Amino acid sequence: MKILVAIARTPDTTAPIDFVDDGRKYKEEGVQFIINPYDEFALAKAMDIKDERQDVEVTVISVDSNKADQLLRKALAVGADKAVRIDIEPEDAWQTAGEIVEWIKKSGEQFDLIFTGKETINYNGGLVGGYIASLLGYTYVPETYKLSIMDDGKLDIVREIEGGKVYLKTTMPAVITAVEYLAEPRLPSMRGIMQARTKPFSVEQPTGIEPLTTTVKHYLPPQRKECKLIDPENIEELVEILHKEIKVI
Amino acid sequence: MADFVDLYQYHDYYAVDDLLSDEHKVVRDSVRRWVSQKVKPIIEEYAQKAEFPKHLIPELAQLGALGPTIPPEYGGAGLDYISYGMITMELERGDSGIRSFASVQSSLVMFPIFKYGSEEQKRKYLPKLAKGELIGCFGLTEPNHGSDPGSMESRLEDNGDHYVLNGSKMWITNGSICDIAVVWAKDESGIVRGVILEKDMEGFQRFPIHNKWSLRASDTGELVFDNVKVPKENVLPLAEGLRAPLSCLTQARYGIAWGVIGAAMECFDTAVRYSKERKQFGRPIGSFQLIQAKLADMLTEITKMQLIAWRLGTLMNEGKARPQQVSLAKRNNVYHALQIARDSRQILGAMGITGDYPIMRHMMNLESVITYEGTHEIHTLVLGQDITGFNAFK
Repeated sequence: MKILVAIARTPDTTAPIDFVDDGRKYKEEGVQFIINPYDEFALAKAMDIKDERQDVEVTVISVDSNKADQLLRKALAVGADKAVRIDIEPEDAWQTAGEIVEWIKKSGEQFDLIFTGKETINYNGGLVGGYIASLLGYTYVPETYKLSIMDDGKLDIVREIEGGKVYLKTTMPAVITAVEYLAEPRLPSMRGIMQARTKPFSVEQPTGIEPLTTTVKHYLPPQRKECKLIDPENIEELVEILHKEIKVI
Repeated sequence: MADFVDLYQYHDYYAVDDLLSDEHKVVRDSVRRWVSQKVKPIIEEYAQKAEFPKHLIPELAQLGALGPTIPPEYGGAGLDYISYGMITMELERGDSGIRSFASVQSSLVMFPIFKYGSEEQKRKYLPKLAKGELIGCFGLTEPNHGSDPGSMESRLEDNGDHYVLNGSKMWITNGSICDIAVVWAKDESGIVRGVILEKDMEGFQRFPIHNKWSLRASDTGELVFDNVKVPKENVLPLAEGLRAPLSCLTQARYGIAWGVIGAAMECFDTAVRYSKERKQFGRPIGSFQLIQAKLADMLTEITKMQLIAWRLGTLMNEGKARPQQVSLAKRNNVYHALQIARDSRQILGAMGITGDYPIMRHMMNLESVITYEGTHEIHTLVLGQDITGFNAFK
């Protein structure tokens, strides 16, 4: 069985948010990057399947500059067999998915399962999985919470939906996007890190898929104004503010 | 504790990360995440009750933090010295006590067995030490001989088919919880030898040292040897003279030079965040010049510490580092880490003395770190001798 896991580089969840280039780009200086947390759940699920079954080969892929190398190394250190990086920082999900699909076609690999996160935590588009599935003609199951591969090769899946869950069955090949709890993310051990040294890691040139969208500007939410406290004994002040400053009465 | 969020931000003002390999960064981030998830939520409680969190040992082993530079055939990970530094830095960001446990196990127990032990000793002990199934300690310091280990009183007497060990060792990290101890004693010719003791050997006693105000989440003990029969196969065959235990300390001190950067950075990061949030006279205290001066000094020292540690690590990897260079790094980095902890404590005012913040714990821990593994003063003399050629020890 062949599994592909697509991972993205996102700022750490506690990283400061600021922009450069007149708001066009996120300020990366001094920021620590991590594997997008939803992609980590996806990667962990692929590792769980590899542990449970024999003859599972896991390839991890990222469309990014060499800034993602460290994250791909980490994926190898937790147990992925091969890493592939398409050497371009993509502008949108279409470009990411398109480059991944072009690489799959070019490499001739037949993946039974393709995992990725339900969305990235920085842009929250949630499109890459769906695009890949439609470009390849695979089944697409988004926001997967539980997944089991049955003896007949079918997939038993639990999805999260608004206010509940839904059970479904489907077949491979499929693209699955992960939510929390699909699997427990793993920390690479020092031994795993050492073993990752000898695993195949290839850097491929992009095929030139054009993005469909261009980021024009980022905005931070307006700063919340400071809360003004008024003494409950001082009703006159409250009335005055409501009347003169806020002008609601 | 499930909702604990570590707000820590790593500070890399001079882009030292550009000097690291991807592997180094994966090592660092893995240990960092483990510390955020497993150490930070519980460490304050263990420090307050003066208890070593023993349940972390199997996890440290699983992570590969025990003997990371030891070759895989003996259970280690075969990583380089900068990776080892990354591990100690992140562990000490959690607590110097956790880092001390790993330093002792790796540099002071596994290293001497690997470097000076027989093949049988390596096969017998190293894999179990790497898995955390055995806890080791290192017995060099004695009640009357700290900075002057050459005057040790512990004695090994040849008794035909075995040796007899008498004496005692003091201030031994992991001392009261150890399964094995690498102990240094003089033979009848006055030559320092290393022996591996097992906890159930008759006459070998271990006692915890209580009432510490520092390294409270770490075990510190006293070892007493009363006519301990030591089989001859437990002697480290390649260790002869004081140079052997001192070479182990060079390894451990190297780890400390990195480790304290973690403690310093945790304090600095806490102080920066606090100074932006805490308001006095109607504005954040971070907007006042005296606070900014402290923060500027701290970041400057952290940056210097990072560069020293990185360069020393590179020399260690190339096999070129001299013990005196390790002394410089240990001396400088611990001294400044302690100053940074004290300044951070001052920025936090009264909050800085509480267990709600990690600073006071780090500050008290560093008071031990500036003393153990060669006091600040002894390292000064090591450098003084290296500079002038004059020995000021005696």
